[in-house]
Amino acid sequence: MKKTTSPQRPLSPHLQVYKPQITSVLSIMHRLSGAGLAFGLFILIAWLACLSHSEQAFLAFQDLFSGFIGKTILVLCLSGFYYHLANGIRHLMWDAGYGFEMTTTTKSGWFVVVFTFILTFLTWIGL
Amino acid sequence: MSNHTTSHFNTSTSTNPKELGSAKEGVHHWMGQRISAIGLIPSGILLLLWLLAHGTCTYAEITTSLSSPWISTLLFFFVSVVCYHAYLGIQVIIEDYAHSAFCRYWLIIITKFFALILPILTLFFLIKIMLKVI
Repeated sequence: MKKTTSPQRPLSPHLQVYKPQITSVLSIMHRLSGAGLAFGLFILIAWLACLSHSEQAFLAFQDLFSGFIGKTILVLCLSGFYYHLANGIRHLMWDAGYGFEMTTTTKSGWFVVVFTFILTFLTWIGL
Repeated sequence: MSNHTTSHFNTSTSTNPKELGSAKEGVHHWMGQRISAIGLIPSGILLLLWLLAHGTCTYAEITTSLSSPWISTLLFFFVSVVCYHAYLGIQVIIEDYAHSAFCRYWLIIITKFFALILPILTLFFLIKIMLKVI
């Protein structure tokens, strides 16, 4: 099979010129939060592993995540969960056929953002 | 008697994207993503509420609660469905950003292995906890 090497062609600017909008930003955030949650899943499994091992392991895990960095990681993971959950439901509404009008999409988008911020704030003060 | 079987998928061996046309399959992936999402909404929220309720509990209290068949099922269900949902999502991300066919192929396979191993691990961790509490 002959492999053809294409010459390096210039790419027209996209990210540098396209104005960020509620639709595009929330879309990439959905992907980012999803990927981040895949990472956060390992933290959940590690927590379960420590619980199944011994009380010392569990207390060590708690200590590890009680510091500032640990708490920040937890809040970020939970924040990603709140966002992905809310925007995921927004996606499911589209899949069912509802909410495609620009006004509705904009409103539901801002609702997702506000929802995420409120729950993240509550989590931050609660942890 | 006809031995003829039709392939419903694109079995072309061509690597030229201009010749390939539609893949003719992919709805299963789309459906699986949505159905797993629907299952994850209640189980994820319930799990979150459980974690909230047991955040400040002692080791004994947490392990006792986890050894309940209802909480164990909730956690195992959530992890299993999340692994499936995450696998589908990560697959799409890999397909979008991994440019070499070799990397795409093997990264997706590695992701599949993780998606299979994590629920099994979770089950054994839960069994171990139950055995501690009994």
